[in-house]
Amino acid sequence: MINHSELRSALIKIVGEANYAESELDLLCYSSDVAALPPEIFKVYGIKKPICVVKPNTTEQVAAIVRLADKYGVAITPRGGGSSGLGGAVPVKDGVVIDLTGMKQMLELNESKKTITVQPGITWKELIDFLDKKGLQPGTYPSSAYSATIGGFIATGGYFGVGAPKYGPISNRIVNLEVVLPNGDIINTAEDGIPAADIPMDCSWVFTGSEGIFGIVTKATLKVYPKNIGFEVCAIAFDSLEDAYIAVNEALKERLTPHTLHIVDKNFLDNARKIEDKTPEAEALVVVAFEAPTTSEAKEYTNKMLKICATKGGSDLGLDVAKREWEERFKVELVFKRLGPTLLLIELLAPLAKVQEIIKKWNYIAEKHGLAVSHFGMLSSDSLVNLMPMVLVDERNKGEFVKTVAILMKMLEAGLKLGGKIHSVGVHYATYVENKTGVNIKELRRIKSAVDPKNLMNPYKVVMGRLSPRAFKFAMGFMARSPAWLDSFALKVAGATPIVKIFRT
Amino acid sequence: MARLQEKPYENELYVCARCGYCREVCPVKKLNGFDKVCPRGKILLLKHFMEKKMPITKDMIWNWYYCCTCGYCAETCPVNIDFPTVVKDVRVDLVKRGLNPLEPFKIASANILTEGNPFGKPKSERTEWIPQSVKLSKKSDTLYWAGCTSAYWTTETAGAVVSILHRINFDYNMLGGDEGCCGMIPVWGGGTDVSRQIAERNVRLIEDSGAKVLFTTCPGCYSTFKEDYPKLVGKLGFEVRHASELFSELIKSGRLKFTHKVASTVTYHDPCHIGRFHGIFEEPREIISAIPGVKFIEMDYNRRAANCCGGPMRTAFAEDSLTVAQWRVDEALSTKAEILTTFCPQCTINLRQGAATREATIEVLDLPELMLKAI
Repeated sequence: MINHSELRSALIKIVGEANYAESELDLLCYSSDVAALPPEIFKVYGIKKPICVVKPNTTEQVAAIVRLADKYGVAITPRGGGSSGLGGAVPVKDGVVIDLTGMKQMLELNESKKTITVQPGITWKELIDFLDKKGLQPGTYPSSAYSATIGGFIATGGYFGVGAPKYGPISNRIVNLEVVLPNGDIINTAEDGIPAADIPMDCSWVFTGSEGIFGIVTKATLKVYPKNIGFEVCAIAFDSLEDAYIAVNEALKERLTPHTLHIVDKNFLDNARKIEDKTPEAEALVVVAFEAPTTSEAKEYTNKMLKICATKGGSDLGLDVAKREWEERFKVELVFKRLGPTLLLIELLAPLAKVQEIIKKWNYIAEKHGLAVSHFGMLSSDSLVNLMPMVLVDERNKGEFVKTVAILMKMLEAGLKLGGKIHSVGVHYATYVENKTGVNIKELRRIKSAVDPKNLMNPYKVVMGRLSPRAFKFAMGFMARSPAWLDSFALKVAGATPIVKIFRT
Repeated sequence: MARLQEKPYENELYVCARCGYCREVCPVKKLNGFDKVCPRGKILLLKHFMEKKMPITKDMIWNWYYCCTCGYCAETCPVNIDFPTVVKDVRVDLVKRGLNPLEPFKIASANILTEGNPFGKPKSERTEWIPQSVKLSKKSDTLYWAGCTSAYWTTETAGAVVSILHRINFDYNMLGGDEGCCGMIPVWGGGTDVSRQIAERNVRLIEDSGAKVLFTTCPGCYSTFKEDYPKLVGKLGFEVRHASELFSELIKSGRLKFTHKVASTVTYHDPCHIGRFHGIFEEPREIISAIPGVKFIEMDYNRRAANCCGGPMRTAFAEDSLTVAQWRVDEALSTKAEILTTFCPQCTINLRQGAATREATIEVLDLPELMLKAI
């Protein structure tokens, strides 16, 4: 049994009274993220309220908290902006949530080396604004830049976002990470390795995309880039989503490198128009931004892009439309959420060459179940697209809601079979961890048991999940097929305490 | 115990995407440090309580009153939730269910009913600020509403307004001893019945005066008349304007001319309740730039992105209100301006106190005071 009052006073001693919270209201806030899911599903996943929340300001405080948690045998869940929807930052084991948003210092800007060292709680928007004043920019940033933190983006892999086709994933830009390991040791990835796991120096890869299961990033040194003067956007309408993807493929073949590119379909535009009446009408829309040292160079790129698109039936919608669409980039998938008012989506990192096939399959599944899908795709590199099919639903209609979740999971499975990957796991995608991009899951498991033998650092995330894949897949398959009223009932059954055990590994 | 049921704001609780954009600009989040106080937290918790049919606890009530009502969150919200309206509606609902607002809101409402102002100052002292020299016309199309804060505290603001209007022989009227409180605090405190009672009284008096235009210096009064009164008592028989709109018009038409130089660097703080709430950003700036000698400099966060001065929190959270004011004063100080001006008596008081506690030499002036210097 954990001695709560002892733990409380020890934690308060580290972070101070003002940075410690354990009221019911506080704990409820820290047991959820962006995802709206029925409470019964939370129960199936094993998500629970933390014992308490602490907000450290320094690396030393983080290390002290980690050592304390180790001593008391309580779990730790590190949390940044909480702007992900896969449950990576919510606890599934009794323990402490470390809210890192208090670590907001810009530590050092090295203008000659073009690097910046920051604490992890800084949001991307704050970093963009800070660098902007110095004529610099951070490269790729998440579209949720207003609330997503540096630490959170690193922990979730930073595979895509605004600027990704040009600047690549966050791993390209990490110079050094200061990390507090599960035993409380502080390491610098550029100089140190992880002896316990036989990993040599330059081990930042271990902490990138691993969702905080190996340690907590307390400082990050990242590359920064000069701000390009030339920045041009264009918006191109197509007669079909297929044509749009063909044109983009063509442009990439011609070695055009967009700064950012996203593609949406008719359903997406029709929905968006219900909120913002200036949204253009088209079967598909490509919005693309180019960046160059001079305006004329950037214009050259957009002209070339428009030319290539024109050969595939794309028509230029003009600068006004393009600029407006570009301004919406921080809203992306949320633009028309209000219509739901619940928005459900899945995310799949798909090879560009497979996109058509995947979307066709998805549309087939969706049509079979009478689901209206809005397609959104964001180019992540010259060969990958992050696909986000979205569905509007009202979560107050539980049967309908959980059925839609199940159908989307079926769609995800279909996408994975066709060569797509997931980029984050959290708890929601635990069943599909083998399909996570860029990792060797066996290696991750080996490192986990070596560095965190007690399984206290963000336990049951990414690896060693608690969900039984077979039970989960069966339940999703059942709910996707059965009528909504039965799903509502099945949900209640699944959430009942004795039944929940079936879903455990 | 009162439970919350389906309400007009309920849909907004489901619209919230919990993206957390609001958290980063929310002043009370900065004060408290934890998620529960920012809009995302407040909404998440209320939704949870409603879904689970849980009785609303004292902590929950406190949480829904712990808000600057500055509306900065609504600017960043990707799903366009008008959070200040949600706050107002939730508080109304709480009161309807017999859940009392925080004590200071109750006291202020009681004071308004007895003394005609939220501070509990004697009714008889309300007109003390009006200079002897002011001779009002019996009937006028235009009525100046000074508001409680200027009538009792920042009397220099109201004094400056009448002096300026006197100099240009502008025809206007005031309600004098009949002027009461606009009812902003009960409106924001959820007390619909009291609010309606106050609104009915004021509307009757204003309409009886024959006024076609009511202008206020206080953004709180302005927003209450303009936005809340029609909801409480229906369409008004007069137009509601802010003094900044009136003065910038008088300057444009050439009727109001500044003759004296004010050789100072000036920065301007946008009051939330005319700025973000009603889009009055340019008029005060037009007035400032018409003053000869002034070097105008913007703070980093201005217009729709202006940080709050903490003023509305004075009602129930005086200490926190001051802290927020100090942050805003710090922003003003970093511009190196000599004068920090705004167009709101409440902002003026708060910023003045913020500057005093920061031991800053920056002079805080309500814009009518600055205008008077130039005449």
